[in-house]
Amino acid sequence: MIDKISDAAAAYSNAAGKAGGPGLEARDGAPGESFGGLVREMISDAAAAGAHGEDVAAKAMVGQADLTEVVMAVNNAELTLQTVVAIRDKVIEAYQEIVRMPI
Amino acid sequence: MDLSKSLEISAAAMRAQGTRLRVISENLANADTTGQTPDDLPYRRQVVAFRSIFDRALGAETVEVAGITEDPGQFDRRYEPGHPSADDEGYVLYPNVNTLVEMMDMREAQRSYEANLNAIEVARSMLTRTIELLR
Repeated sequence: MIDKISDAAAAYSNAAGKAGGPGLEARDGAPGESFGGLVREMISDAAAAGAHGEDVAAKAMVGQADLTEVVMAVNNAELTLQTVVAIRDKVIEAYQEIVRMPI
Repeated sequence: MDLSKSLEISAAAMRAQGTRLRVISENLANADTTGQTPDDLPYRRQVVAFRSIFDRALGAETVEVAGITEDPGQFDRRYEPGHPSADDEGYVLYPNVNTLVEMMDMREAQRSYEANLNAIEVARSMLTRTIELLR
């Protein structure tokens, strides 16, 4: 009887070890592989787009840039930011779903 | 991405049409500009030519102004003896600008600008709707 129980426990830990490879735990790999890295990369993208928009707008103020250039730059910044916010919202929603999951 | 490319292409076309409208304004404004002396030539009508150019950074064909050239058409000759730049026979040379033609060109530039504006609006709303799928 005791043998059976220890066998079962060994089998269970074996299965858990197999499944535990690329599981849910955070991977501290190169940026872009983990969610943190992804968000960091995208936010720096959005910040760069926003900075470029401001730069072009400032140039337009002193008559060095075209109005269409300003519109395009600001538009780009807005779209990038929207994408970042949408992805962040989605992933945080998924995280909360996991947190609320009854065990 | 193709949608953001199409935004840039339309923006380039809008810039080109803006230049075209500037030249049309110059023609209209100078439609009555004669020479200052009897030997002086009046204002000559300017025309814009476009060409397609491959934007390497973008990877797409965009449009740009190839050049602004002078219209070699004949000047208008009117009999105005009292004019300061009238010649010995009393004739004054007027620019080869036809206001009606310029108005037509202006409408064309306007419609083309609006078409590109609409293309931008459509591409933008397609992008926004795609992002909204995530919500």
